[in-house]
Amino acid sequence: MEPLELLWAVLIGVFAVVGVVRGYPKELGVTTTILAALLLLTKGGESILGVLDAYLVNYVNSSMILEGQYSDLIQSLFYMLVFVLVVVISYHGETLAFDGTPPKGPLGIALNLVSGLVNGYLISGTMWYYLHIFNYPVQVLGLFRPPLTEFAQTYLVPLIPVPLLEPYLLFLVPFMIVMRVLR
Amino acid sequence: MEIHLEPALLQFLIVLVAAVAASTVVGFKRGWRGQLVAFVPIVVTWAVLGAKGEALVNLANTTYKGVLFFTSCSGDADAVVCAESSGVTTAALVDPSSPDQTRLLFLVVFVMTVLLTFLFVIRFGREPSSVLQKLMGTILGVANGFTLSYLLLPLLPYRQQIPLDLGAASAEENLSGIAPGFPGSISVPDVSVGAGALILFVGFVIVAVRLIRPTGAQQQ
Repeated sequence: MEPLELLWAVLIGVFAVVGVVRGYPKELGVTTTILAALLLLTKGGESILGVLDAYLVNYVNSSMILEGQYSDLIQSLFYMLVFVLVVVISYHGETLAFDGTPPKGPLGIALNLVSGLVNGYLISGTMWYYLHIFNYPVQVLGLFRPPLTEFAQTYLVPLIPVPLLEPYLLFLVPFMIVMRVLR
Repeated sequence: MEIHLEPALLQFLIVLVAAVAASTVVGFKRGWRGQLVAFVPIVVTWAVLGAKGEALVNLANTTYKGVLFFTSCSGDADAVVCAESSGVTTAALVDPSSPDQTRLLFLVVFVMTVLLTFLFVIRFGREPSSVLQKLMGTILGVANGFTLSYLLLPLLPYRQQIPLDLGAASAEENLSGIAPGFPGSISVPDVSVGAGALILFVGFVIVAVRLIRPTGAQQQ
């Protein structure tokens, strides 16, 4: 089985190419949506799961989401599916895209590339985070099985975006909206 | 109905309300540009405290010794003997082995930086040119205030008693505060890495947005 960081790098590469093709004004709109989704998941994800769990207890008489046998898998999938859904919506159509076109020439290509890389890092890093904190529950499904490689543990896991950006999300989301309005 | 406010909760509320109120006022009076100008030194100070806190403690102690020496031994013929006999050489303002004392020093430095930055922006910043600018400054100010309280709370003495998921990103042992109930573990990065990433990202967005060319319809 290939190491997880390879998949991570491939995903970032794919999003970088997408960024170059689409242009960074559209990519910045996606970044805004991603940051808003992260804010929602980090601040409200657990509350949503708690409400769902309390609702389901009425039917199955036990906590399925928070304490059941597959609770790690369910929680991890919940976070990842919500996030993927938001990402898909943000890439579909114009949505929050910034008005205008990128500058021509190498500068425009470089900015497109960087914005694509940033989005790739945020998307694949967030997926990794919600696998990591639940001890990679996808191994129940026969997918990736830990341990991570030494390189990933030393250099990549500390750079996972969610804990890195969490203290600043409340600033970043309005900042992106303000920049969008100014544009 | 009587509400009992624990010291920890009271402290949390005071910090939160003060930070949000002050930041919102700055945003309202100086717009979103003033907010950005205010936010950069605050984050930089936080990052420097996280990365170079030990050097700051040494600097504070050295300065303290210098002041003690100046006040106690400046008139003495044999300054070395005076310094040793009066305890100047062993004096320390902040005990590096005491987490409470170092945290108090960091708190003082951080709060002073925030106050000076806000005063600087209010004094020298420009009034927003439109109501929209004021509104955007206010929105950013509220968000900035929350972030400020997030950075400030881990420095407070009652921090350990607050069962809230705030400020926990600064230490791995507080991970349960970020994600209570999460069975996995993750090495929480140094806050300076996050602050560095934030500054790079904000800089990139500002430059990128300024370079966006208007479309044909916008030019007309």
